[in-house]
Amino acid sequence: MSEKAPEDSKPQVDAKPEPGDQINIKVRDAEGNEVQFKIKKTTQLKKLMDAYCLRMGTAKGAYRFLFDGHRINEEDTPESLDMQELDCVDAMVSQLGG
Amino acid sequence: MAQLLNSFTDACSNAWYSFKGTLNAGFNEVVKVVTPRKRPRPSSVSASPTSSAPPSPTSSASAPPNKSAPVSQTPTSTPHSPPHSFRPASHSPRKLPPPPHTTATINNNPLTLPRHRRHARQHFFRRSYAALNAAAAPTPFAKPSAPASVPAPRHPPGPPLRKTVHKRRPLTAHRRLAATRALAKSTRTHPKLYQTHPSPRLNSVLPSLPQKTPPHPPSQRDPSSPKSDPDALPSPSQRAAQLAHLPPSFANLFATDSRLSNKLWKVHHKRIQRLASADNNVKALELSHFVARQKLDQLRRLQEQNRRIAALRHTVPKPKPLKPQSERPPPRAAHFYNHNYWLPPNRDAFDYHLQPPQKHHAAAVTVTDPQSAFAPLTDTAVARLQAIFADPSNQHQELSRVDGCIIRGEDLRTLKPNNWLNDEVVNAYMNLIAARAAKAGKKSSSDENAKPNGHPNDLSNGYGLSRFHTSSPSKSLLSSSNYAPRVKVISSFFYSTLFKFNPHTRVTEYNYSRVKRWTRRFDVFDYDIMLIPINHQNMHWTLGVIDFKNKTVAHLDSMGKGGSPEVRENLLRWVRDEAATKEHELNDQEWSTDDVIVPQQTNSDDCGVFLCKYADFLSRGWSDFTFSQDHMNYFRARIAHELLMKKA
Repeated sequence: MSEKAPEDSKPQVDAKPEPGDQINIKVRDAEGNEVQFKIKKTTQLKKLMDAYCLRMGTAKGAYRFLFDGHRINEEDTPESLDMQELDCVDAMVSQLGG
Repeated sequence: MAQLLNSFTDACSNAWYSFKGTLNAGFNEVVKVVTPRKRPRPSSVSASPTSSAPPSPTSSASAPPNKSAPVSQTPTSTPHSPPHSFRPASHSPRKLPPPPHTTATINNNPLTLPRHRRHARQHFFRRSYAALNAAAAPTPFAKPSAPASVPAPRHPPGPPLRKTVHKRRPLTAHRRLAATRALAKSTRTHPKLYQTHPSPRLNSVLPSLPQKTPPHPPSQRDPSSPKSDPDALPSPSQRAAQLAHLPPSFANLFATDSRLSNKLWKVHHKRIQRLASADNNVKALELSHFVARQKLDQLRRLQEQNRRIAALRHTVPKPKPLKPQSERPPPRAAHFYNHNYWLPPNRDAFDYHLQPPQKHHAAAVTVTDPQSAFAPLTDTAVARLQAIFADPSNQHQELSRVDGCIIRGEDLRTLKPNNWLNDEVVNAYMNLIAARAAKAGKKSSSDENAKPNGHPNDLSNGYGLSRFHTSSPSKSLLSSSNYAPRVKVISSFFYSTLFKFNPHTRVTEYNYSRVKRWTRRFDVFDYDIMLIPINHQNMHWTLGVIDFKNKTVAHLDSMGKGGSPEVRENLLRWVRDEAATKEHELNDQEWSTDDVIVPQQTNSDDCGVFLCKYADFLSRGWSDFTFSQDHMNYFRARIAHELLMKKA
């Protein structure tokens, strides 16, 4: 069910990041499919969200990303949200109702 | 005899010249040889047809002026061809030289021609040779002693070639009419047939003809030809002379040698000719007409151009500026606010009520709160909303952001009347009222510290969901104004994650573990009330309410009276699980579910607004929902305004 794509989002290739700097974050969509991203702790999560939208082939902003039920801002980082290794981010699609 | 022969040769050579491009090389050489020498017997080679060289097998036949020869004129008669029969060159097309003057324009190399053109060419040559035979035969007999000044007709007087061009296509009605007209014209001006080439195909193949033959063969036609051509443009000198009769500003239109003025002159020169001889009144009238027509044409062209540019740019008309208050239409009649009054949904209309409906407003006035839920919007706010809604360019532009919920133009436009609200608007508004409630809670707690005895937030006072189902809500509840519950709102994705379709079991089932981490940073039991917006199948919005003080769970549905028992059970189950996780003691006997009567929507668009307003009123501590469907357009505008202001 879950597909692994550890190389999907390359945060920065320039300075070789130390292993402790990076964490793996899973993004789970509404059907439960998971995509794993490796990201530096100080990188803005905008990068992750854009990479996920690109991978899903949708426009940016098509998903609402929640971490523990909280909406993720673009300028949030894994550090600021206190994310741990293999934490899961939910990618929700928009809801409409009348 | 020699004279006769000479004249005959001249006549023949004229005819040959006219078909020079179509004949083979050997014959050309013969003619070239003949003309300078002016001798009846051009060459000794041509005397004996049988001894002729392969490149010019037929050329020898032209020269012998044997008077007894033209008896039988069939082109394909005998192997040693009779004197006046010219065989078509179809069997040796590569012997044909290119026409001398047309190498640049016409490709006559049969090897490089496409097949259909090659066939057409062969067909043409066959026909022209046959026609030549037919034409050449009577010449020595009809006018054997004709003077050289009267040249032979360029084309045979036989059936016109034009007919053969169109023979293959069937005649439609239109073409039959055109053919009849052409026939009538050709019969009217029959002698002209010899001046112009009747066949366009012949013209295209023989473009070099006018250079060899005089343009107007008969001398008696020369004076008549300029008059007979009424379409000819006057010479530049005539043009200048005619323009001299016109006013200079007008004549300048035609005077310059530009393309435009030449074109104008071509179109209008007949008019100008007439004008030159007209009297001044007519002249003035005509000129004014002309100028007016020119201007009209120009205007029409400009309009067409603008229209196309506008269509290309997809221009959207600018929003009209807002009228001042005095010029606006009067408020709608009372029956407009009737529940039964309905309008066909117009999702693009901007039809907000700037003022809340009066009959409800009176009730709301009893709430002596400056933050009243029914405060009318200011003109500035409405104008701003109108401008934002009318601007299509902000579709993806971030207009506001509330706790991570990004309100773009498209999200804000869901707040236009008769549109369905989306999750961004609902969640952002929920966060706004939570922030307002938190602020009010701090304020009231500071008041509470000042006056510990006058604590209004008393359970016996009653504030929450226990009052919902009472048919007559107590006014005392509203008057106990400064009660501020601690409100926790949660995302609209909470319930859809908690109670979710499981693709493995094909069942929509409750699963606490999916949302277990959602509350790890706070404890819901610290709050008085928890508001849970619920989206049903991407179709409907309702509000789930968990009242921790009164220990009730309610489901406020603007479309189904009393809400769904399933939702209430799920929420209650979540409360139990949550209490177990956070290790709170929970007495199941104390908790209950309420079915609550709430204001209902009368259309199919406003459930999201009802949800927002239920939450709004509850977060203010009001359990008496004094609004109805009539307020919804006003509430939409107000919610949009508050989202933009980031302040509920």
